[in-house]
Amino acid sequence: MFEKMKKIDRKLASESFINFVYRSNSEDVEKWQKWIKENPEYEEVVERATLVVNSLRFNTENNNVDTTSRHWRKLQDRIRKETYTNSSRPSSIRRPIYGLVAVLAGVLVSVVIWFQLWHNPTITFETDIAQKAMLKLPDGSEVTLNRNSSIRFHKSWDDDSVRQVWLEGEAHFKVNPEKMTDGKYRRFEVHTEELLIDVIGTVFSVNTTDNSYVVLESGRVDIRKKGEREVYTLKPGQSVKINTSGDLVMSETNAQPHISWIDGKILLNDNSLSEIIQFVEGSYGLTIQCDDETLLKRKLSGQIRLDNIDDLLHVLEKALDLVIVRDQDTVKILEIKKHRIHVQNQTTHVF
Amino acid sequence: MRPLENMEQKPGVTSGTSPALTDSELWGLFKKGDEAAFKTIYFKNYPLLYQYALNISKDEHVSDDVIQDMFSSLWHTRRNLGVAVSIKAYLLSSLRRRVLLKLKQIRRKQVLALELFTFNPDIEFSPEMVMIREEGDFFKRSIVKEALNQLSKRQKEVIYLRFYQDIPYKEVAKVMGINYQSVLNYCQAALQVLRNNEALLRAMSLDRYSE
Repeated sequence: MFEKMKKIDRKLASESFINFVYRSNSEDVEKWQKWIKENPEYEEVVERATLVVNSLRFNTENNNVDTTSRHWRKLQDRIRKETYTNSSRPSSIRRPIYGLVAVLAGVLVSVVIWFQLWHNPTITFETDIAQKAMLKLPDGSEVTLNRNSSIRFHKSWDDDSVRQVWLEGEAHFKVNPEKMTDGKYRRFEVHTEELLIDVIGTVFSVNTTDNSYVVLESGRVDIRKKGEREVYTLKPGQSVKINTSGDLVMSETNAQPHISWIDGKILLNDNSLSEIIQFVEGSYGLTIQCDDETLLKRKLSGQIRLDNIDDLLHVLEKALDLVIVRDQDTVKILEIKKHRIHVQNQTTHVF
Repeated sequence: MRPLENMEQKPGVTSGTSPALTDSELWGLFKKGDEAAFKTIYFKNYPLLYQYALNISKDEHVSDDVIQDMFSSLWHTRRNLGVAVSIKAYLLSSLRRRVLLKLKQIRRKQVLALELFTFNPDIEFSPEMVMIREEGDFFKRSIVKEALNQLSKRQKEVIYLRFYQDIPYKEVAKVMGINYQSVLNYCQAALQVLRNNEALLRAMSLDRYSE
């Protein structure tokens, strides 16, 4: 008898019984109706169980969408900040034993620091495809590292007569001039695979993807190709580029616009779609297909926010009157006339 | 993106996310960095997650903070996350852990260390949570609430997760970190207690006959 009751208890708490009471599964409803007919002695307990399960319907509709949206925006802001500054998220100490771990880590860190007084290790900083980072160099100069880039430098420059960094990818530098005790300025060198850039204090961008180029905003930089002696001196507004045959070519930035990506925006200055495509491919790791030569020559000026690839493509689509179809990492650009049939509404998601 | 109707459309790729996506498809997109998928997950789950955090912590600030922390860290660590068959259950269990941790940190200052290791959530049902056909029948709601709050902590949590959060027993077990059979046992015991609560049965049968 006891065993039997136990079995009934189990049955009355089963998913299938809940489905029966809530009428959420017709198979279970039929099954239970049949069972009740065959077992009339349990009618009362089933009746009670039905009432109980019915009492467990809850009201979950009392949340309004506004609150959710407000919190979503807060979350977006936070994630954006964390992504851009690459600040480490607060990690909480999980168990009391972690206190001990923290102490040990502290000891380890002091050993490492002590060790570093003798060695001067190199720091490497990398960004992935969805990340940009602002960092301070040992002398306080600022570097904004674009997506998919890496920079390397000595942890301390106290003993170095020249400030040196090694760059892959793209970065924007704000270098502070620094006088040494002998009254001369301490040099700042950027090494890339192909170039050596020599500066004192200035603001400039370096791109090493595809065709390397350097653009100067203020100050003065000297550039030379590795393995060659000729030095090019850039004045503000000028840029230097490695052309397809591997030679350095100097030009006025205005004459040959480059795409600037500082402050989370790309600044377009009469750039052609093909230039934009090259930039977007490089920054987001996408493959963009566009076969139409005339489309590729279309030009665009202005600013586009670049934190979200879909928004960026959407702006391009609108501005140049194109149809852009994205399928994972492949993007197709089509001309609108031939292909516009039905265009569905898009939900923009910005962040 | 604006998909063309006559083009073959892979799920979620062009139009962001459609409601037809299964949890694992949505999760897969999210792991690849699809912001629309992330947003969908957030909007779908936020209200109930918030309720859960609030029901455990009984503190709006703690709930807000913990959910923000959770989603932000989800986004940053998405590449390293495992496969989620049920997103809701995954989020609930992650949230549960985080809220309890936070409460421990807060209470560490006040309570003896002994209690920390036996710390279980104590959910309290409120009349507002109870759904009765006759809206506004505060009396009946109170009876249901009373009946539920007399259950043990564990029983309450099982009932809460299975019925309020509406996730199957298997996932209740994952969220609570106990085995499936224990979940069933708690639930059987809880339902049995409720079946013997005459006040509850009377209120419920009145509710039904007044249809």
